[in-house]
Amino acid sequence: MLLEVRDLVIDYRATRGRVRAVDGVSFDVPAGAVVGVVGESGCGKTTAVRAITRVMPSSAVFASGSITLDGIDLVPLSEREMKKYLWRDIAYVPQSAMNALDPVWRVGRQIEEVLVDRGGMDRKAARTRAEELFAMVGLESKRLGDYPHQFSGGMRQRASIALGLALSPKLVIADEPVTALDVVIQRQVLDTFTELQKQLNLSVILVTHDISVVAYVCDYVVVMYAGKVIESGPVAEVLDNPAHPYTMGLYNAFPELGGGDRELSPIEGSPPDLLDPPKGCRFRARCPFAIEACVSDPPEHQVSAGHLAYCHRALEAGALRETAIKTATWVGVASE
Amino acid sequence: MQHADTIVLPSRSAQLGAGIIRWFKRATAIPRRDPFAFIGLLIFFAFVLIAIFANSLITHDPREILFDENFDLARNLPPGGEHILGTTFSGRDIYSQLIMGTRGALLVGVTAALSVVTIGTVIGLISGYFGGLTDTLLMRLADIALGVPFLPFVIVLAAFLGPSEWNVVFGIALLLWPQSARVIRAQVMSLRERAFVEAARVTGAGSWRILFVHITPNVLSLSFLYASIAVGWAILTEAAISFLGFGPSDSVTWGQMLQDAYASQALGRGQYYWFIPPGLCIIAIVVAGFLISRGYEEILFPKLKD
Repeated sequence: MLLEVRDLVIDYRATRGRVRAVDGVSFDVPAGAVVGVVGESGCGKTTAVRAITRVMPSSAVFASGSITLDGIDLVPLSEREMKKYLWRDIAYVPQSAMNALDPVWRVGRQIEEVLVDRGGMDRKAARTRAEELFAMVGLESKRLGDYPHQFSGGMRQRASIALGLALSPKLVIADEPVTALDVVIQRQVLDTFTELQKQLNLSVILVTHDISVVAYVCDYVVVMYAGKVIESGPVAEVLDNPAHPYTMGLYNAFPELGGGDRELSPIEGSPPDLLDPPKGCRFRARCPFAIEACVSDPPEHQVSAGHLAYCHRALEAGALRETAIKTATWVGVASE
Repeated sequence: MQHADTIVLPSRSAQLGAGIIRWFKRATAIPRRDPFAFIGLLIFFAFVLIAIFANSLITHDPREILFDENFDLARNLPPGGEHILGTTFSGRDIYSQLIMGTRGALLVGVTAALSVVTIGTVIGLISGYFGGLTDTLLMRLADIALGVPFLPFVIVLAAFLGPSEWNVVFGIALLLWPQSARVIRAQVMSLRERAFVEAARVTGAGSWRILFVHITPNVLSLSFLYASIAVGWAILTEAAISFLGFGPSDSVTWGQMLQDAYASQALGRGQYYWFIPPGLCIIAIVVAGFLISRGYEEILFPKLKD
C-alpha cells in the first residue's frame, strides 16, 4: 500500500466552537491506482486530502490519526522534514487550478522554479524538463514563454498537471481538477491525465463531487458524507452495487457520461451542522430508508472483498436499490 | 515527414531583439492609453535631462556674486542679454540657480520617494502576510507615524540634525510610509489567500520565498503608484522647508530661491522673473508626478475610467 490514512480527525476552530470537519476517516491508496474521494461540498474531502500535504488553513487543527506514505509515518515529522516529501513524493494539483499559477511570472519560469528550487536541477536541465513536461500534457513548448492569462482554462489545467508531475512524485493529489472546465474539455483533460497515470504508473487521489468523473477515471472510490466515510471500495463494485443509500442517491442525481435516459432525482435537504452533528448515522435526516436503529452509530459492513459500507440496512441493499431508482422515493424525505 | 532535429530555434540575439521590442511596447503602453500620463512622463524626463546636464547648461556659477564692468554689483538686472532670467538682489544669476535647483529637487524627490516606498512596501508585505502580532505592532506604529504633524516634525528634525536636504528625505521617509504600507498590506492580505500562493506552499516553498518571489511582484505596481505621488510630496516639502528658512544654506534649491526672493522683497519691486520660474518648476514637477500616477491608476484599476 503506498498511502494509508487511518482514523484521521481534523477540526476547524470557529467562533462558535470546534467543527469536526473530518471525523475518523480511513482509506488506502494502492501503488499505481486512482482513488476517487467523492462527496458534496463541505463533506470534508478537501480537508482530508490537504491534511496529507499538511498545508492547511491556519484555523485547521490536526486532532489525531496516522498518515503513512510508503512505510513512513508523516504525522510526527517536523515542518522541515515534511518539506522534503512535498512535491518530490507528494504533489498537489489544487482546487481552482485555474488560479494556481502566479499571474506575474511566465508559466515556464514557474515550472523551472520548482525544478530548480525543489528538484535541485540546473537552469538548463530544468528548461529541457519543462519542455518535456509540456509535451507530456499536450502543450506546445513555445507556450512556456506565455503568462497564465494567455492560456485557456483547459491549458492552465494542463499546465498545473505538468507542474504536479514535475518531480515525478509517487502520489499526486488532484483536488477537483476538472470542475471549472466544460464537459468537452473535462473529457480531454481527464483522458490526458489517465493516459499519463497509466504511462508513469502514478498513484492518484482524485477529489471530486462529480460521481461521473469517478466512474470515468478511478479504480477505487471513497464516498464521504459530513466528515465520515460512508462507503468505499473498487469503483465498479461500489457504483454497480451501492450499499449505502447516500451513494445510491448520489448516483441517481448525476447524468451518466455514457448516456441513458433515466430520470435524475436530487437528494433533498442539506448536510448536518458539523458544530453539533447528530448522533448515529449522519445521513438519516435525508435518508428515505431511515429506521429507528439509525439513531445509533452505523456498523461497518463488508459487502464484498474490499467493499465497505457503514449502514444499518446494508444487508438489505439489494432491495433498497430497487426502490432508490424510483424518483418518488426521494421526494419529501427531508421534511424538517 | 518531419524530423525533430530540423526545427530551427530562434537565435539568442533574435530573442534579445524580440525582448527589446516587447519592452518598448510595454513602456509606450502608458502614453498610448493615456496622453496625460505621457505628458507627465515627458515633463519628468525633461527635468531629469536638465539635472544630468546642469553643469553645461548654466551660464554662471549659481552661487557667485556677480559684478558688471564698472565693478558695481550686478543686482536686480532684468531678463535678457547676458542673464537669461536676470539677477537677484545680491547679484546672482537666476537662470543658473533655476537649472541647478532641478538637481536638488530631483535628488530629494527621488530618494525620498524611494525610501518611502521601500519602507512602505516591506512593512506592508510583512504585516499583511504574517498577520497576527507582527501586523498589530506594525500597524500601531503606522498609526503613530500618521499622527505626527508633518511640517513641524521636519522642522524640529532640521533643528536637531542641522539643516540639510537629507533631513527632509529622512523626515518624509519616517512619516509618509504608513500610507503605502496600509494599501499594500490590504492587497497582500487578499493575495495570500489566492490559489497560486497556496499552490506555492504545497510545493514546499518557504514563507520568505513566497513573499518575495510570488507576492511582491503582484504589489509592485501599487508601490510605483505611491512612489510617483511621493516624489511630488517630497519636492513640495523641501520647498516649504527651504522657504521657511530651515533648508541647507550651501546648496541651491527652488524653495531657497523663493525664500531669497521673498526676503529681498522681489514682489514689491515687480521682479516676477525671479520667483515665478521656480514656482512654475515646482508646480510642473508635482503635476508631472500626479499625471504619471493617474496613468498608472488607470492601468491598475481600469474600471475607474467608466
